[in-house]
Amino acid sequence: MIPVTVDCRLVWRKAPPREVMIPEGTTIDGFLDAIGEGALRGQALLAIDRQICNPDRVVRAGETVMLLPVMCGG
Amino acid sequence: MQRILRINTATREIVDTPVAGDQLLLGGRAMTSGFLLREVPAACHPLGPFNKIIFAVGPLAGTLVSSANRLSVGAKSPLTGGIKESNAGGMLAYKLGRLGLRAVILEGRPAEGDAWQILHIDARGVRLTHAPPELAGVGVYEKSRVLFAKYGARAGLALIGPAGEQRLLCAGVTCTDPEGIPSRYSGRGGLGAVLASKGIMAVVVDDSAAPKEKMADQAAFAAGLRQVAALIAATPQTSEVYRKFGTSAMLSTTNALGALPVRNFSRGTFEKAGSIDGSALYNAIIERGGEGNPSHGCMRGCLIKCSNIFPGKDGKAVVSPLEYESIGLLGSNCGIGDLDAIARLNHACNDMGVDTIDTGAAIAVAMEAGLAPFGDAEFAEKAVKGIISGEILSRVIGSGAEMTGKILGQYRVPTAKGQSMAAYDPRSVKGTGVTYATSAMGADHTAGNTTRLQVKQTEKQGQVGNAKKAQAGIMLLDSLGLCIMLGAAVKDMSLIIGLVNARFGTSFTLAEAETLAARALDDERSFNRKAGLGPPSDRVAEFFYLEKNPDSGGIYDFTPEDFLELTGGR
Ligand code: SF4
Repeated sequence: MIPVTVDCRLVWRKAPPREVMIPEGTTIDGFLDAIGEGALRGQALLAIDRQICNPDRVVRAGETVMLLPVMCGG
Repeated sequence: MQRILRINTATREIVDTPVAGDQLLLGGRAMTSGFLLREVPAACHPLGPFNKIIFAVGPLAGTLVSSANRLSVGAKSPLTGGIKESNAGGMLAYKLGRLGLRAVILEGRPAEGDAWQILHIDARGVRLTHAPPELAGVGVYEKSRVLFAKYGARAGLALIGPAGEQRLLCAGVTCTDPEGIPSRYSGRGGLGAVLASKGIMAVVVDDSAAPKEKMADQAAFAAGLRQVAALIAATPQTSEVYRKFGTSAMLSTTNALGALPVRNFSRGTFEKAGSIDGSALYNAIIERGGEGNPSHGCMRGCLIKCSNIFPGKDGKAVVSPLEYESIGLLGSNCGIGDLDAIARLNHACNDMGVDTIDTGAAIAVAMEAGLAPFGDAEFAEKAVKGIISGEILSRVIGSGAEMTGKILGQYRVPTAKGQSMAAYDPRSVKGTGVTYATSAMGADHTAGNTTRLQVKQTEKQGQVGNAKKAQAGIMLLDSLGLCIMLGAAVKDMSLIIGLVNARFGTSFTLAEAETLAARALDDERSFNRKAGLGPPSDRVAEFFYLEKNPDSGGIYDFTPEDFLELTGGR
């Protein structure tokens, strides 16, 4: 297991960044399930270093994963 | 029976024809673009007798299927010189649909100096009548008040403001919402100027005597309606998030990604984002109470209700809706970080009848040119309100960023095909950047926005394909008269096609709809090619290729060859 930080910027659920443990080798695609937030699939975009990541990007120890709302513009 | 009305504004001849065959399946944008390609000489002057302005609705207009009553307005654009379609909510499409009208086509051009006309449509027929003379030069809020007093509260209106009357390049056409507020804009591309060139100040549609419609298969239609409602209720975005925060929730995403336009697209992250984002907007509406409402439906039957009514500190409504793109362009892009100031500006734009996106971009260009410092909300409001008295600077700004940049000798003008970008920096959300360059519509996020995708947005690879898919998807929605928000809940459009079949007794398939939508995209490119906007015009403003966005690190690095996958070089 490796430590990463979750920075939740979902407009309906803002929270201070928190540290969580995830299995080594977890990809962006599997990240929400790994932190027990599978229900957010389709509602959150995952970004690291201010960049939305490709689904196959592996999350590395010490990184901060930002959760951003999936929205439509008007 | 579904029909199409043609009105020649020069001869006043009115022709009513039935809709047949394929035309029953798609309406909206596919219909406006198809008619324009077939009937309008692409090289014509946009304000001349050969251009046409077309109002078209989707196949479910007039029913209570949620979010299925968008109105498409199409014409050759005076802003871009190319084909244009701009769609909006409001009540007009619902009322046209109840009267069995799929499209209304306005042709010809009345003699210069002829009195303004009102086009009045109801169950008894169509009439062109003189507009009350006191309406000339008046803002849309007062115009609609007078028109409702004359035609009754059951009417729906589409109208132009002073900007349209002056034929400014960013003049829009606004439709009234269920409460009669003229706030749902087909804002992009200067279509209000085209409507004005036909001598029409307002279209009044009264469906109060419309006959009750009998569906071909009432039971199947009712079941489909319930299924759409159930999907909306079961999808958190449509049942909770959009309803509470509306489109403004987008701001925290773009700000975090360095994709929010800030001070004339010089940055992607705004230091005052926390004061103007979705939470700030929602909290202000809730705390102030009064006439404010975070969950407002812009049309009958909408169950999502992403629209809002933004109140002032006294609880009185200031503007409805206050949306992400308006906040981005009139707010952060002008360095304005105060929701109250942005709401007042938005109201002023609505009242004058100009597009908030291009107007915001134009104000920022003027600020960069030194006419006022960034953040000067007073300058911005005065510049917009000056349209009513024909102030020269106001007319320039109401003619959009491209014109403002030319007159003020500016290099950094954030446009493509003469139209300003919406609130997504093309260097930071590259898929949307591809759409800005390649869409026949010019820099229009609604033509294929990719911000929702879980992909590295600053990476070039794959973005042309992403944009292509997004453009095809949105064409289908636009041609079915659907609001994009519905797409979050209804992923399989077969459900919608099933509703169309239940209504008309047809047996269309989704594949047929997709084929027709793809053809409509081709139609649009064909029109533009004939208008002189072929592949060489598929690019964004030069500075995006040279300046990195300092917050996302992205630069616009697409070549004409990159776009071949999407355009086929046509
Ligand atoms: S979801 Fe929003 S924009 Fe779409 S129809 Fe409903 S209120 Fe209008």
